[in-house]
Amino acid sequence: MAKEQLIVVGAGVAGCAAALEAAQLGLKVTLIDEHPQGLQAMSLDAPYFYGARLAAVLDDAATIGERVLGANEPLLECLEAGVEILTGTCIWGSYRPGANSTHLAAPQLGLADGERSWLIEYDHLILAPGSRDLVLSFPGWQLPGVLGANGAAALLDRYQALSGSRMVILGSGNIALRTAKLALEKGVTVAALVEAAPAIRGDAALAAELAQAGVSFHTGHTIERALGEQEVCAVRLVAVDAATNPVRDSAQEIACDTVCMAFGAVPNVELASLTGCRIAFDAARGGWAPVLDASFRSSIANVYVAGDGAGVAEPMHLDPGIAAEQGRRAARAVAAAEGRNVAAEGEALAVAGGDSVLAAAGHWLRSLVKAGGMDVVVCQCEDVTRRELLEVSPPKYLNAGNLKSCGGVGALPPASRNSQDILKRMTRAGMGHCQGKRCRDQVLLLLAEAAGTPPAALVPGSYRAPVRALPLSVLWAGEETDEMRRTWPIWLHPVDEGAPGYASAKAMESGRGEG
Amino acid sequence: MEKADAVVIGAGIMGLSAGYWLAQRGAKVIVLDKGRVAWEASGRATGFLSLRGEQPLEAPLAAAAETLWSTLDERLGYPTEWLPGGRLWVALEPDRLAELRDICPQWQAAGIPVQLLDGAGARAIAPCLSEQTLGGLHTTRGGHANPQRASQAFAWAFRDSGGAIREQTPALGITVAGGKVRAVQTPNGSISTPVVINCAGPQVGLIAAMVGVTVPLAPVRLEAMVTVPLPRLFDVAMVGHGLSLRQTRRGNIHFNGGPHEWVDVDLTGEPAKPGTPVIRNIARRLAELFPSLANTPVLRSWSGVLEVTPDQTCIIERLAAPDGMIIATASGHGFGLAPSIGQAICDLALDGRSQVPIDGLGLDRFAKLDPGWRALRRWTAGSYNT
Repeated sequence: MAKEQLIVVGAGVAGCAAALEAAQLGLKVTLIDEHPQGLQAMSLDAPYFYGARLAAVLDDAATIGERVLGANEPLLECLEAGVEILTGTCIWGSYRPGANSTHLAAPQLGLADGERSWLIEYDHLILAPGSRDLVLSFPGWQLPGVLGANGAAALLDRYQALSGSRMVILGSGNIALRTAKLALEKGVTVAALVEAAPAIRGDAALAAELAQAGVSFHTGHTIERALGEQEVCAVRLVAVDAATNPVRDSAQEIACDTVCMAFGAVPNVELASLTGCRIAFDAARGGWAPVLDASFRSSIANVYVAGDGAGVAEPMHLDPGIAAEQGRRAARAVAAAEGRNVAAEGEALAVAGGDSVLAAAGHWLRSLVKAGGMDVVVCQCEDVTRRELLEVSPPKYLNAGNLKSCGGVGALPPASRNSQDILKRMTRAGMGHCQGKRCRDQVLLLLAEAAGTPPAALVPGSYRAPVRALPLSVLWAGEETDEMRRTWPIWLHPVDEGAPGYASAKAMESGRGEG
Repeated sequence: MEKADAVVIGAGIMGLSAGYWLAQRGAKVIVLDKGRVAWEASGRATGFLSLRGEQPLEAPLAAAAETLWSTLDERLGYPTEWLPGGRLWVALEPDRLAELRDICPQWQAAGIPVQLLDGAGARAIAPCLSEQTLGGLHTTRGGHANPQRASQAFAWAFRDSGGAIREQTPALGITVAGGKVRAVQTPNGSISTPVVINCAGPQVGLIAAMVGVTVPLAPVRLEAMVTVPLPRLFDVAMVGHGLSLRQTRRGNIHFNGGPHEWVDVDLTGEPAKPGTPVIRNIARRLAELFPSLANTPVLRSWSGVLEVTPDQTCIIERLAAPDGMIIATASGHGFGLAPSIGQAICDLALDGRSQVPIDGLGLDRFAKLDPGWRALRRWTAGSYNT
């Protein structure tokens, strides 16, 4: 198996800065990025909420490849600096030797492109996986034309493939304002920017600039529904008071073909979590984020996390320099560990706080529940509504309406009540094609509200390999040895015909057991 | 001190089933678990019920379980996703086919209807099977259910019957006096009880050791996976090409098998359950078994820790000393048997003997077991793929 000195995952701002710095310090660097993605992967809303109206051009691999690479100048700099670059390659697994997995030779990552999967070992790993769209639902959110802010930015900028021309943006934090600015730059009309809270949350100067450009701000409003038959044609907004109650007779419709959910972004911790890095709740950094030192080193000595994946603070949406410096710090720490002469770091980088994205999202969610009700789908893949989630109803495919109610979330024992995984197992919310990327955060917010606990007290759902849904034929172990084929165990071991046949280990060498 | 008629250690499906049946008979029961309901093996199991034709000592329990499974949704009031779809063992290689031929008479001798099929016969039952399929062994008996939902169904029904579940409450000790069990110690105090039911899965041995009893077990970690949901392809619970698999009621193919690592467990901690890259090899086997599904995406994988007895047969016994201690482990195939094992435990607790025969499942069969048996078999922690 190939072994790399340093693998950097993610060719965004932080990843490219890390790779370039490390290469300039003389390290051998491999930079891996899942973009350009195949249309099938994008249709599963991983890593972003791209929505259900992806442009046909995305199927043209050559054109898209050119656009995505052309849009990433830092990546070209990395290439010139001698960084080995794998694009169109996702990381789906991360494995380390450790308790109850002692036979694994070395830390390794699972990689895949559209055709095959393979494993590589590493000495050092810098994860720069970016952030995930925080998604909250409202009636009509399944319509083509609804997408997330990260998804919109990727389609507008990297892929140049947003099929829409008139956008309504939900949210007013920096990610919402940034998306509005990008949309305007790309020739998309911003028909409205909506905020449930009474005031704009994000940067005042940028908000003023957008207002100057003609963007109309609807603070103290929430979305009642997205309208349309085949795709979005308008949104219906309703005014809300400070306690998120809808104001009577305040509904208004705004024509648009695109609704961008820019409620916020949360760090994408799936790979850090799979790797075994300690994750803890930090409201100022977007919720559950890796625990890191001043060098962005995780709880595992040779694993670092930088950029939005390390925690999303509000200023980071407007100042890419923060993520870049985090990446460079991680790279310098790796270089120091490899014996390079690296100047000592100055002060720890202040991760500027700002308000908690989850608090803002909680405010939004309360307004959406009041305007849209409890029978709105939370999990698109498995068709689970808010009510079904909190009542812990059996999934619809069981037609179990004649059976009892279990009493809902509140009737679970306390440890089960705080576990997203238990809720996932019972309702299936988060079990579907998108692997929970679209519903995970809303489920946690609903659970916190229903259980009366702060989000920090919840145990978020676990992450499982493969963190990108991969076809059997891609995950398929092409290099499997004859030895493995020959010794592949039949579960488990045979029962000796003279059972209880425990006396002889030898008698247990052939036959079969039961799964 | 808090009092109970029985304390069950382990909120897996077996302990919850025992608790449910006891509560049905009016007993005050407390189920303890160091973690959450069905958080370990019960929530990670394959979900099979086999009629245990290859192990006549367990066949009566399996037959009783099958009868119970067919009524469980109504009885418990919650869905288990039980699907009485029968069982199919398939062979893609001549050696495997020869094994199926050998095992067939055992099943017939146990009075379970089984049929040897050729490749076409096997594919008639599961048309997605590879054209390389040489044959199969089929029975219409047995089936499968959703391990998580069935375990939780027992938990809810137990609760509805007045039972108490204490999560994150490990048993730390057992008080014995005058040759009898008296109490169970927990971090939140002791519970006075005349009956302690040890259904602690991989921890059964550690719990038994609290009263000086040796239960030979080897915990093992293995891996499972699911695909995206597919249209209905087959109902049988299938074993073949090194995998155990079923299609869930939702439509996902749930499959597992392959190399596994022997591990150790402790009394209070959650065992580490890391995955490994072996999922690629497991995925390959499913694609070889079902070539037409090769482009089906895999959604997730997970690991679980379960326990195996030296002869891979259940241990179910009410100990003579100390009196009041009941031990139950099903050696990694307890899911399907749990409804009837729970009943047997209930009988043992209240009547002293089980109505369903459990003869031969006691600890005395290990009297001559070499104390170093795990090492002899290379089943000690860290050993792999043996």
